[in-house]
Amino acid sequence: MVTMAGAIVGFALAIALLTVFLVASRLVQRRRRCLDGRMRPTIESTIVEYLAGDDDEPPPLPGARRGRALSLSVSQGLLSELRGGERMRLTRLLETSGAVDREIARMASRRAVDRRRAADALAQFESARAITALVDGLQDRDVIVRCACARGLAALGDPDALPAALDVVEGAVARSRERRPR
Amino acid sequence: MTRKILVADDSLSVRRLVATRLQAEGFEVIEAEDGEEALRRAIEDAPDLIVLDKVMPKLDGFEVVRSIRERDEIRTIPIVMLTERASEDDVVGGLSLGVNDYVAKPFSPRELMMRVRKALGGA
Repeated sequence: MVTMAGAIVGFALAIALLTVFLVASRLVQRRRRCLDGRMRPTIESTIVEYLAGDDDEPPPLPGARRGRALSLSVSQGLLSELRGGERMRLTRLLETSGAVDREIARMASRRAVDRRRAADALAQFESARAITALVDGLQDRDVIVRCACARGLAALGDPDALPAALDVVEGAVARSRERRPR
Repeated sequence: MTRKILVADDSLSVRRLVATRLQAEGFEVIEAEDGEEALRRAIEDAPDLIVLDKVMPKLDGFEVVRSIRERDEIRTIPIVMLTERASEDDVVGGLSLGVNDYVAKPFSPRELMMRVRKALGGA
């Protein structure tokens, strides 16, 4: 009887803890969305005014983690839409804000998924440092990361890097053919 | 007289960038974030030119062009369309509906400004 009551109390406690956890995580997410909603227009205006203006000196972007993530998100959205001078200005802004260096550092992460995401991000930056990091990434131990780097170099269209990128893709295709059941 | 341009694109960043560029060139800019709003603003404000994204929520860019070209009071407004990729079908389909010019994304805002001026009959 005592064991049964203990099990019920334990179960109720577990449900209560789970509910508290879910409510707390919802509140944190809501607060984060609220903060993002307040910060995003300012970041967007800063970036757009710099891109549309004549000032050569890139403006400072938020240094805190959420601000950095939002700046990168806004910039990536614009990078996929722009080419020409504005794209070059945006790349310069990302270089001076440290975003390019952060993605290069992420290429050394222990997790393949982080390295792949970093390669995808670097593929959008028309920066010499990004190209060097992607070329280095062609030697990554994970085939998905290597292919992401090859894809990125193809997107950036760096002619010097394309033969090595093609080797990686051909190697991945050959390996997948070998593994395919006959 | 200041010329009025409607910029319709669901991306706020792109809209702001194009609007800022146009304002710097002396144009008055009105904005729309989806196809329905673009059509409504075109009818209400009768702009001198429309920069229209092809892919938009609620009403596709082609639908907006079709509706504009069917209304006598606004059918002559020049339209410059922004497309994700200017495929042959997109270009032919758009031109047959009455789009005046195309700019393929990713795009250069400077090139867009030139095409806007050209569509308005300037240099």
